[in-house]
Formats: sequence, structure tokens, C-alpha cells
Amino acid sequence: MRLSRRPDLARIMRREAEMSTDECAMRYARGLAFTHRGNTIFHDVALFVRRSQGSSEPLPQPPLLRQSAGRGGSEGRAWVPSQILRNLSPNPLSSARAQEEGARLGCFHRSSKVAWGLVARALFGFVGLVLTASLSYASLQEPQQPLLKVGDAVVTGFGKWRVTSGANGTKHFVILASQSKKLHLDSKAKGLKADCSKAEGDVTANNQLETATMSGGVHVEISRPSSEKTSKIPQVAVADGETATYTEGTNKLHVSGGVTIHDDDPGADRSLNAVGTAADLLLSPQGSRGEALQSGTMSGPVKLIMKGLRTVAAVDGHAAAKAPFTINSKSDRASFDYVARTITLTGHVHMTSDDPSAPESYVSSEKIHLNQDGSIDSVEGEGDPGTTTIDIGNGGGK
Amino acid sequence: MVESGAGNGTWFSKGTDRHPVWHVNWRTGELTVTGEVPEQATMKTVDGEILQDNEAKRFRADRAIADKKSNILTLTGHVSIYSPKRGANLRCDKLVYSADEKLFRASGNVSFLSKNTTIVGIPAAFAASDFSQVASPDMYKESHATKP
Repeated sequence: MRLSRRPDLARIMRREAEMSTDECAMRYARGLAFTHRGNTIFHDVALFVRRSQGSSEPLPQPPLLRQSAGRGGSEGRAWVPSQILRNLSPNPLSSARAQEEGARLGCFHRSSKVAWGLVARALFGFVGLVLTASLSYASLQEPQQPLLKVGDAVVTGFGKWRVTSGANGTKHFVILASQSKKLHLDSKAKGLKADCSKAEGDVTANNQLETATMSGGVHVEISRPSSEKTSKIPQVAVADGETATYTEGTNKLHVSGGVTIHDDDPGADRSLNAVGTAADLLLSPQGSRGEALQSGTMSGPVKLIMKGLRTVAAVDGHAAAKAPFTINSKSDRASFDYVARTITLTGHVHMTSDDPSAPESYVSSEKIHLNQDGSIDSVEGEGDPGTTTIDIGNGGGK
Repeated sequence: MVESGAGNGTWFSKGTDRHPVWHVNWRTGELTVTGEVPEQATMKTVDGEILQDNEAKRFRADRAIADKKSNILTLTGHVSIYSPKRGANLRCDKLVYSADEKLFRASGNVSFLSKNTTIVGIPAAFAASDFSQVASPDMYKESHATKP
């Protein structure tokens, strides 16, 4: 008996099991299930071998295939199915050809009744498989919203992106907004949100956003608890510009290109708005109750509007009260420092105010000293060429 | 073509510097054998390792097709590949690994989770085989990948 159609397998089996050609053929017919010309004919053969022998014992243990890595570049082990019916094809060889193949192996006794019974079983199995697959597919969860988390910042609304690993577990990211949309970055740990067209930056190995450079119509929001302890409304500082760079180490934000700053603390009823060409802002630590923007320097020309509450002293039996005030100014540069509680305007300063503490002035520089509650304590102005100093002191509305 | 039950195999690179490129364990499979070499293998319920630069990335999937000629391993259905070295896990519906390009092409519900990066719900992504870079296909930096 020869296995001329699969000489490679016959060789493997002979070498592996060192069996005679006849034994090999029997095992081949019983244990191996393979496709020949698109049909799984030897499943039938194996079944009929068992039936013709009148045996109900399990089929013999399948042979082991092993191929040398040295001869062809691969090595493998393959156990053929112990349950042959599992692999029965629903499209078996035509009965005439199956009989012919079986006869070639000398162990095939054809029974079309049994064969078609097997086909029916296989078809039922196939239908069951399709139903199971359909149910599994239906139970799949909905597709997730695209989301990218770099360090402690969550990014949505992105299209193209790249994350590369650096030394010591750091990561560098480049993220672009999807078409006609804005990226949205949200770092809850830093109380920082941003919308922009492109973001590029680095993440530390311990999962912190180290730097982020944003460009393309940047809008940054920094939120902190209100400086007024009784208020639950958070204070929010907003910076708009063409580009912005956040640096975690210094907790600074550099904004450039048509910059607008809006620092609002509704709980304390005070706000600061400034328009310039660039700004360097020092953010207060996340969770702190100081101003969201601890300090900042703006270059310009800078337009600044500051609003707050001042204390009106008790007069004629009326109790002291709070009254709103507004300062408007234009200058070449402006800086504010809420730790030192000063606002400094320099270069071609023009200031107007409805607070008696800060009368209208044309000076070369002006320093506004603030009280802890944000009201004006005093204003110092210095006129060109720098010889005149105006110190209003504690006059005005106190 | 040989139909097989549970088995496993290791595929080697071509050329003179032959080294293992991946190892696959399968529940059932079909192998196209030329001589004694499985040129192509289609396997179901698979797991194994991608072997590269002294690192074994573990993977599992519903199906795998290993093509010896192109040195490409294609994984489909609930694909997950994990790098113990990077602590990173790439999951998707389909993953094509080119051993020659040292590149993973992931598609369908792609997610990538590592110590300081999480990406989920992406339709497609490319990743360097050492996970040193992961990107949307149009942003993948070829220069970053090691050419064969």
C-alpha cells in the first residue's frame, strides 16, 4: 500500500513512528484529517475503518509531526484531532471519488446513508455555530469614544497622533485635532483644560504631564477653588492665544499671539481681564485658594480691566459696606503678582478708575497695591522723566 | 494542506542569521506543507510569543495566519499583545506583524495601554515591534522603525 498523494506526510510518519507502510496507512486513514483537493475525504475513511472493524473503541492516538528547523526554517508539533467528526467538512468528496480514494487505501467501505447522516450533523453544527457567533456579536459592547491619555492629561477630539518612548520611561507625544475640530486636553490633577489644533509635549515616567506646547487657536482654562472660603464657585482663569506652552516643573504657562487673559473669581466678586501680545503666567498650585494666576507678565500694548469690591467706610451712622470698583488701563507692559499683591503698569500708562484711591493718571509707570481682599490699598505713579511720584496712600473710599 | 488539532510551532527568520521570530500555540489549525516546511499556517484559538531583541511579547487571538514567505503573522479576533519590558498592552480586532519591518499594523477598535499612555477607541494604529513608537498610520515615523 502506498500513499503516493501525500508522500511528505507518509515520510514524516514513517520516520517518527518507525512503523511499516501498512501500519502507517491505517493510522493515516484513521487519525489524520486533511483536505485533499478542497475536500476532507479522509474523515469518512477513518470513520468507516472503525465501523468496518465493528469496534466502538476510541480511535488510536494521532501521530506526532515534527519538522526540523534546520531543513526548512520551521519546526512544529501537531496533534491531529482525536475526535475526527469535529472536523467533518459539510462538503465531502463525491461518493464515487471517496470510494475510489478509500479503495486506494484498502480500508474504505462506502455507505452513503451514514455519510449523508454525517453531512446533516455537520450542517446542524454549522448553523449552531452561526447562531452562536451572531449572539456573541450582538452582545459586543459599543465602540469606545476615541481617547488618548498622556500622563495625567486626557485628550479627545484628535485625529493624527504619535507617541514615542524616550529614555527612562518618558514619552513624547504629538497630537493633531481631527479635521475642523479642536483638540481637548483635560488634566484634572493640574486643574488645567485646553483646546487647540495641535499639542506636543512630554510625559514623565511617573505619569506627569511635563511640558505641553499647544498651537492653533489655543484656549486654556485653569480652575482653582474660590479665594473666598465660603464660596463653592471655583475661580477660573482663561488664557487665549495662538500658541501656549505649559511647563510642569515651574507651573508656568507662556502664551503668545493675540493674548487675552480673563481671571475670574465669582465667589469673591473680582476679575481681571487683559489683552496683549504675549504673557508669562505662573499658575497657583492645584487645590490652593490663592488666585488661579499667581503672577503674570504681559507685553503689549496691554489693555487691562480690573474689577473688585472696595470697602466704603461708615459715614453718618451708616455701616461700612462693600462697593464695586473698576480700573481700566493701557500700557506698554503689565504685570501682576497676587502674592506681593501688586499690579505694575509700565510704559505710556493711562489709567482710569471709579475708585477714589486710583484717580485718572498719565504716567510712565504705575504700581497698584492691593489688600488681601483684592481691594485697592494704594497707587504709586511715576511720571516721565521719572522725577514725580504720586502716592495716594490710604485715602479714597476707606 | 494538513489539518491539525492542538499544536505549537516556532517560525524562524530567513537568511543566514536565523533566529526565532514567533512561537504559536494553537487549538486547531491547517498547515500548507511544502516538503516538510509549513509555508502557511491558519490556526484558531492561538497564543504565543513574538520574539525580538531578547524580548518575548505575549499574544493571544481567536485566529492566526503565519506566512513564512513574507514573514508576516496575522492575528484576528480579540487580539492582545503584551510587552513585559514596556508594561504595555496593544489590543485590537486585527494585528498584522511584519517581522522584516519590525512593525505592528493594528486595526479595528485599537487600544494601547502602558504605564503613562492610554489610547482607546482608535480605528487603526501602527506600532514599532518594540513598542518604542505607537502612532496613527499617517503619523508613524518610518525613520523610527528599524528597517530590515
